[in-house]
Amino acid sequence: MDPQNMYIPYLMRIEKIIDEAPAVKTFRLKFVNQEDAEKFSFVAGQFGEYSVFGEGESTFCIASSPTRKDYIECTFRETGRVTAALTSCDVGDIVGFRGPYGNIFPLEKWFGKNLLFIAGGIGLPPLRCVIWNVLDLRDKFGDITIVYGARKVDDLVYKYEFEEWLKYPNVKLVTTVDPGGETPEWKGEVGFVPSIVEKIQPKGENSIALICGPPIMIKYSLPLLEKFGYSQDSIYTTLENRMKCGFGKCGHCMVGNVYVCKDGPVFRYDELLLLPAEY
Amino acid sequence: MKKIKKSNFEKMVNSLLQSGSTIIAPVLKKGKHYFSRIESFDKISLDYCQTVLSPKAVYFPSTDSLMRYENEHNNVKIIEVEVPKNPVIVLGVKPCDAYALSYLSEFFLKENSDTYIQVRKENTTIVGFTCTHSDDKCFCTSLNINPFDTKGTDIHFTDIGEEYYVESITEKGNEIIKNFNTMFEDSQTIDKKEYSSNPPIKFDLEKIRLTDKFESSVWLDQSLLCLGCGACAYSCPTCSCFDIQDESNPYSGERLRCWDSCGFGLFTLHASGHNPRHDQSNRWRNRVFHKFEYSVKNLGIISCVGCGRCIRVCPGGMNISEHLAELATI
Amino acid sequence: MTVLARVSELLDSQQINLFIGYTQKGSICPLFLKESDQVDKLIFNEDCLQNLVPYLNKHEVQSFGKIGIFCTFSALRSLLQLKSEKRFSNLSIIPFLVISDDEFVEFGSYEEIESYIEKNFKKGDDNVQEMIDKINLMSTEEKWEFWTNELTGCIKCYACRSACPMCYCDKCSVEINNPQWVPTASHSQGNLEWHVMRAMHLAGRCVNCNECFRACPMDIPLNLLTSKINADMEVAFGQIPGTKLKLDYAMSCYKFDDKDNFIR
Repeated sequence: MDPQNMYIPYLMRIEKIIDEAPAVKTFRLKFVNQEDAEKFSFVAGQFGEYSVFGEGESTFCIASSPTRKDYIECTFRETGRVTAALTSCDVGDIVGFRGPYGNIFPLEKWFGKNLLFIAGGIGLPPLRCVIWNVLDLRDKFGDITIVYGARKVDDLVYKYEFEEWLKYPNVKLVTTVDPGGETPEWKGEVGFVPSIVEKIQPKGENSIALICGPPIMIKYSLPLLEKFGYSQDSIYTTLENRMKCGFGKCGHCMVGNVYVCKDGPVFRYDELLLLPAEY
Repeated sequence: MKKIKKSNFEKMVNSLLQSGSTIIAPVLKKGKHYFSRIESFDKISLDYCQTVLSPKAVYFPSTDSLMRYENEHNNVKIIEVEVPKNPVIVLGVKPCDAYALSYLSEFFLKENSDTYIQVRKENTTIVGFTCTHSDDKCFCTSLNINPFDTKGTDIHFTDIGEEYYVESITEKGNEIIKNFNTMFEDSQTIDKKEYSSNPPIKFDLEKIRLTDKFESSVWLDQSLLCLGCGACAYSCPTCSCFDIQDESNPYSGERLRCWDSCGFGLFTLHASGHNPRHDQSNRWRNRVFHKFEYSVKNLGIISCVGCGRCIRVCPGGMNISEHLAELATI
Repeated sequence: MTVLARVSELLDSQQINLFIGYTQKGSICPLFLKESDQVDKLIFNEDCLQNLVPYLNKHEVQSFGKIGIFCTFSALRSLLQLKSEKRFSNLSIIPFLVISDDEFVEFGSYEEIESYIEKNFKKGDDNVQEMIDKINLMSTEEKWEFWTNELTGCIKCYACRSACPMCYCDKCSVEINNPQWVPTASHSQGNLEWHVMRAMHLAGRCVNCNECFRACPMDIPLNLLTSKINADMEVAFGQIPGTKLKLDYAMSCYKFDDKDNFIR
């Protein structure tokens, strides 16, 4: 196989399928060829092109942590041709994976700092990669606060992991659902993510904020973060523009002269402000 | 410098054809010129102003197979596509197109090099020709490209009457001269300008400063004419955006790379339904910014060569040269 | 009053916010006027062939609300057909048909358009009919060869779709990918399926404005496909698109006297 050919995917076997939420699934994928697994490495923040042979490719982040070797996980919502085909896959089926692509969350620069994660809906998977990475290196970081919201209780992903996260020291998790999305058993907050951020009053000093979710959530959360003392260069997000190739050629994800796939998808807020608002 | 008699040029082309080279040259079909594969010299029509489509498909075909696969009982086998390695000669390439081909190879090969385009470039010889015909849509000179420039060619010919004046630019060009050395004679240096077309300068490139015009209303005004098709991008010699699509039956399939255009509304549409470039004005602005600002920032090259094809094919009468002239005044 | 004076008047009095006409800049191209100060740039002559009505399908143009527009006869028909398909309910459109500098028709209502079309109806282009007659005489094999040959040139730029007044779907069938009905690639099968699908979607709707052919950078005579289908539709259902404000759409409307001889 031509090692230079960036379009040839790895063959991956679906090891495990988790039904996360309506139309949302998580796949655990293992390399079919052991030598691929040995060569492969990635860093938190990167993504890949996942394919169903015959249907095409779709872009998702790697939602598992690089500290968990031997497999990768991805979480996706059924929206189009490829995700529909993925949804109908079974354990044992073979899919394709190209990657890893894109830049990374600079975890090493954050050693000793407090981390605030703000995620909405299907925006949690890219941050979940960082959350597990950080938890696996727990003593390197300060306090960890996770604010996670979705429209309805059903829409929250990784619910089964929340307790595991909380077993680590100094981890605070605040879950919320939009007003009207709660169930009688719901014990979390009710309210939009930005209002929950306002309520918990995070402190920006010696802290890093990571935010991912619907544009409207990000729009209303950013001014709050600034109010609580987060400088623009301490806020990180990951963009999810339409992508096809993953390495700066197909042009779909371009925002200004920046290719989100190659120069991103991780951007600091101050970097984002320099780009045209085409994301 | 060398020269070659036109009768010898014909013999050379026929000999190259006989030796198994694929020759792609401008061919006249129903009154318009197209780059097509030729089987004999008499099909070539060098007497042209502009082909409808650029020769970019030689490197970057409109539909390109990236790989095939077979799938039986969930046992997927990937079959890599062998890009043909036989020699290809593109003959009759004008300076604007040769310049564009050099941009394309820079873009595709500089970083994350594209295997398919790499192989094609290695096996392709670009035979440039000094431009002899231009029309009111041409504006290469406004972009500091001369109609006799040799950038991007391997060997360059200038029609000087009974003979062609010949400049070898690369090793591939030297090879042609070496292989047909009896046909080439030494020549004095000539002033190619005397033999070339001379499209007038349409605007002052220095005055087009886009950076502070991003929010201008000019983009909406200009883009009202745009109907949102991909004719400009597909005829453009430097437009390089693409889509990746699978086509299959239950047992096997193919992954294809197809031309795409930032002028289409769907180009940037997110899975969520959000579209960062919702209006045609955003898309038109992106097209101009990409060519005149983004590719300069990323590669140091303006990715418009003034060939005028987008103007000729536009069903809505969009005229980038007039639009650039307008941008130079505001 | 000249047509230019009338356009000025409409713009000045804000009865329209935009006027779409033609101008000459090297070649003839559309002109979008928001103010009357450049009204003298408007021209109208027999070379002004582009159907401007497709612009009315653009949301950027619709946002002007009240729009005046130069229409050729077939453009007028496309406007009527679009109205019969319940388009432009939020738009106020004043179409002009120009005969000479001083002679023009300004339409105040769709009923006026309907009666003008009825009175002045002329069959489509003779050249188109000649080509259709020629193809009609071909054997099935020759027809197949003719069309595969023509469609080989298609690059899937969708200029035909963009320039067509009747192609206004928010999401075109070729863009619906779950399932992928039509291959998006521009290979022979993909091209054939795309053009057959598009022609079928225009059956009983195409007003023979020939805009698809004019727009095609590869000069594929796509208008022959739609014109032929519509000639057949006329024979089968007695309907001519773009002639009636209230039109039963043959492809989606059942009538007791519909012929059923195609069911075997």
